[in-house]
Amino acid sequence: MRKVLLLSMLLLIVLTGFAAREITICWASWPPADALLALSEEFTEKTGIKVNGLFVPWGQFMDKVSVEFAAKSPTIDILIADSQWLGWLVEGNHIMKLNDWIKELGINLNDFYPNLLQYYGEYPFGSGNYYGLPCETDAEILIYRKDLFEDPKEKAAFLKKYGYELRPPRNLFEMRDIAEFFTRPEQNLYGIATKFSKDYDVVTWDFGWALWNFGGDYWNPNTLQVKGIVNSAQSVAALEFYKSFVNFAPPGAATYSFDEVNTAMQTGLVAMAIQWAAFAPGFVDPEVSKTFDKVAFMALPPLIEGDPNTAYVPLGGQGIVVSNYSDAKEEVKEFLKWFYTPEIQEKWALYGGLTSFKPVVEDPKFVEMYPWNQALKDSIPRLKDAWNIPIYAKLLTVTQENLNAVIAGTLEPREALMKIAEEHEKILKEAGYK
Amino acid sequence: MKTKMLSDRGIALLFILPTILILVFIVVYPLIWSLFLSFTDYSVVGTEKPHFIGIKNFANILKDEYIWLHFQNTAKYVIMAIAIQFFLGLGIALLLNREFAGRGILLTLVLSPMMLSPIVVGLFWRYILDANWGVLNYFTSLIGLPKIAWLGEKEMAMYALVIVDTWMWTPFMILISLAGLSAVPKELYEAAEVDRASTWFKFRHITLPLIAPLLLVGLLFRTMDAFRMFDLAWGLTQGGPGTATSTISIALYRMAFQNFETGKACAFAYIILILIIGMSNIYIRFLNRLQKRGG
Amino acid sequence: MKIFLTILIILIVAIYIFPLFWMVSSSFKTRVEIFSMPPKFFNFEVTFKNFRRVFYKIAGWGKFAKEVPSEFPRALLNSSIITILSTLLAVTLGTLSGYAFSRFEIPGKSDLLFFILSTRMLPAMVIVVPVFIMYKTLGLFNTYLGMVILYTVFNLSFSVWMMKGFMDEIPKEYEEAAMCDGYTRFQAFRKIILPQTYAGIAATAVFCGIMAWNEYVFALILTSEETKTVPPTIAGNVLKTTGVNWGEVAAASLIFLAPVLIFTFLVRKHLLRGVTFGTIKG
Repeated sequence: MRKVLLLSMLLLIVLTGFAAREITICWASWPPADALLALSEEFTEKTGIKVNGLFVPWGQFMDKVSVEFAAKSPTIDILIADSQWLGWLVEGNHIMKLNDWIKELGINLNDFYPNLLQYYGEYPFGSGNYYGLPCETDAEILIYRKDLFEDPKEKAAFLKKYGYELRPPRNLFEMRDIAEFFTRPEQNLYGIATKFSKDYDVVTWDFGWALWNFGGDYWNPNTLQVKGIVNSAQSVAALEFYKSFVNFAPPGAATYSFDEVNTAMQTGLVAMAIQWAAFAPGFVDPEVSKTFDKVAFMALPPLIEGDPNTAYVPLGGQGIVVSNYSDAKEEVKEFLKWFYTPEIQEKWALYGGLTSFKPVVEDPKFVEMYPWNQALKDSIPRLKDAWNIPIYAKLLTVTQENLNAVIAGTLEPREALMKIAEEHEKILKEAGYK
Repeated sequence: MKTKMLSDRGIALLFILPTILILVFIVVYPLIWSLFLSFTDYSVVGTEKPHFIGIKNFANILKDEYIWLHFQNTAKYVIMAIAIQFFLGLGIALLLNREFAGRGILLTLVLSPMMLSPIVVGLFWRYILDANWGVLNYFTSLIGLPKIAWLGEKEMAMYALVIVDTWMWTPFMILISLAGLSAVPKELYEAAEVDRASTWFKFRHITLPLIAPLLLVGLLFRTMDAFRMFDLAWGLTQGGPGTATSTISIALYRMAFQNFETGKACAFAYIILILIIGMSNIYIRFLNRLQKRGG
Repeated sequence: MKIFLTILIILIVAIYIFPLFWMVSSSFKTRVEIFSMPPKFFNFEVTFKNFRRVFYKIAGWGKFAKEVPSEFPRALLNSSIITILSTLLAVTLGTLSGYAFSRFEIPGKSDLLFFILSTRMLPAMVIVVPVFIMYKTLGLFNTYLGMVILYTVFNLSFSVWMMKGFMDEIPKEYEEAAMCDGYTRFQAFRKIILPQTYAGIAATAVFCGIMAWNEYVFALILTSEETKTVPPTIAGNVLKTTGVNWGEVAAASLIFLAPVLIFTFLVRKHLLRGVTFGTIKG
């Protein structure tokens, strides 16, 4: 009798398990993902649909997703995908075109910034086919030590040495001067921490900031020309400039990825840091940072103050895309409907997500919310992205390795860019783009 | 008599067959599959069916200058790591091969690094080796050395990898050596004692010949494991900076799971496989000869 | 001489154990103290928060932050299931095959043995792609069964070779005598031979268990949330908004290490005897 009881209970559990409506969100394993999961509890309360998280380390995020999709696995319903993945996701037929849903759910595309909608969702560019919507709009921002910048003694010394006032940098060269000024190994202080590592995509995007603002680029997205662009005089100048930061960075900076840049700033090792806005909360948290009350945030400076063509900011973050293999499409639809409302988007921002939903961002409340929101808001219209074609990963590997070699001092900038150009041409040709 | 023979054969079959079947299922079958894929342009993330492209994958790999770099890195790492671990392991084992209080606990502690997950070891050593907040640089600064970027400089990164690998895997050689030492019959030493043989003589002529075969087996397993090591290097350096610590396993992983050149990765895997089988064949033959001579 | 040796032992062991000590001490430090320079070896404020964070993580930021259960307990369960089953399977198959290879004339024996050994030489990367494709077709992707079979295979060559070594050590006369007494071959194996190899089985099981417990790449690629083991879980939780909290990594690693350490300590005598027994004569 007890056996029967036990069995029927088990059956009940299994049955209810099957009956429960749930969706799984796949994202990199990092704090915004946990924040989204926490926010989703409200969605569960409202609809009864449970939200699960499948969060993967950054280094294996793409590997994992591609494996799941290659297996046509229904595990993933919603994927928060890097903007560059759009190509392979669409061409592999892994994700849904969302145009019909957008219409049906009444999502107003004017609520998004056009450059972001394009980078996170439109494929190919200009086609009007939307596969994704902005979710986490990340931008590289500058974190600096305001206590050092405002110290009268430092100000006087800086003025004497450089002939102008020490202030939050207004252009790239001021930034380099400041970095040089604060590089004092004997005091265990260095000028700048930025992501030089070959980890994932970090050095490619950090360098992108200098590259684009100097007038260079990784390629011409329209003609797919690489040679003569990534190794143009402007690009070489940009890399020479970017490389000079190595002298003002802490020893071992060639391996700096997300966490090392955080730690360098949090332990008071550097005066400035270039970091994704998603990591900003860690800089003002007294539990983890020694300098929590000494930092300020700003958008990255341009090459020439006031010239929008030299003021690009690397785009990071991810958009929401929907798996074709999902067996819970109705639930996903409800989730999107819930997520893209001003009310929830505002909460998303409060939970530590980076929203770019216009009604929220343009509300005066937004910049008051958190100290880094002004920097983020200033960056949004200036955001720029690189490749999004299916074979982007190969282009990325080559770029990462050669740029990191420049930082490590084993390759000259000109050589490295030449190598990148040649390899990229070869990859594009092999993939049938030329 | 005949029925007994049959039943023996039956048992032999029954005992061996499951092993062989499961190996065929997980190893041989995939290998045949990947042999087929190695002649195609298949990509696991692509939508297209594999196209036959002949030996182009193999040709491309053998032409690629980077590939040889990966082999060089691997060789450098394997030779350094194995040599150090061998001598260090034997040395420490000789020291520990005596009775003293707390030996059991001590031994467990010394052996514990190899029970950690390699990925965790790689990650945690990144903290220990950091140029600015790593504890190792604190110790070196005490003796007046400047900050060393263990993982940031080309030469240093390889040494750092060897150091961490040595920390993790010397215990294996200690264990093997200790096992060997504890099996040497005490009477032999006593006999030598009577002859007033020197410590070195005892080691050279009694200990070493007896433990050599075991040490070689240990060495064989370490070499094979070092050759295919991935988790540790992935946690520690991901092959960086540049390509300084990029071993063949890492190169293969990047090819297969970052560039998704599945066909090419399979071809590369085959080249590695042939090399390893060749190498271990020589090794095992050497081992057999040694054992025949010794025993 | 004796004092010198003792000092040398202490020194080597100290260098050896220091990273472990560092891991333990980090697991009790706050993040700010973890990065303090000069490092704090003993004079830090002890916190247990890192251990709590292994089981409960923080989701959200600022006043919206809340503690939610982490996936670690589930991962620990998954790791245990997969490790125990695959170790049992590998050791059982290894014992059976080891006995057969040791006792019977088998056509092509040395080739078979070399084939079994060669599976150990395979860099795991070589088979990960085809295994993945195969698992996907057979529905073994993201299942306990799939992981158990895989880890069994990884350990099989080691287990067969070790167990064959142990069996070789036991004189044939033992079971011949038993069989004269009326035992069948199988009974002789079970009642006479098997009890003699327990030490060897323990040693083999430790090594197999360690491998299965700690494997990372395959676990990462072939499992999803339901069957994810601990190594990919720890690696996945390394990056926080704050940067890496090494204290939490250390705490999780120590919790993960503890069962292996205890098991090893319990069987340490067998471990030594086992290794000798198995391989001294090859």
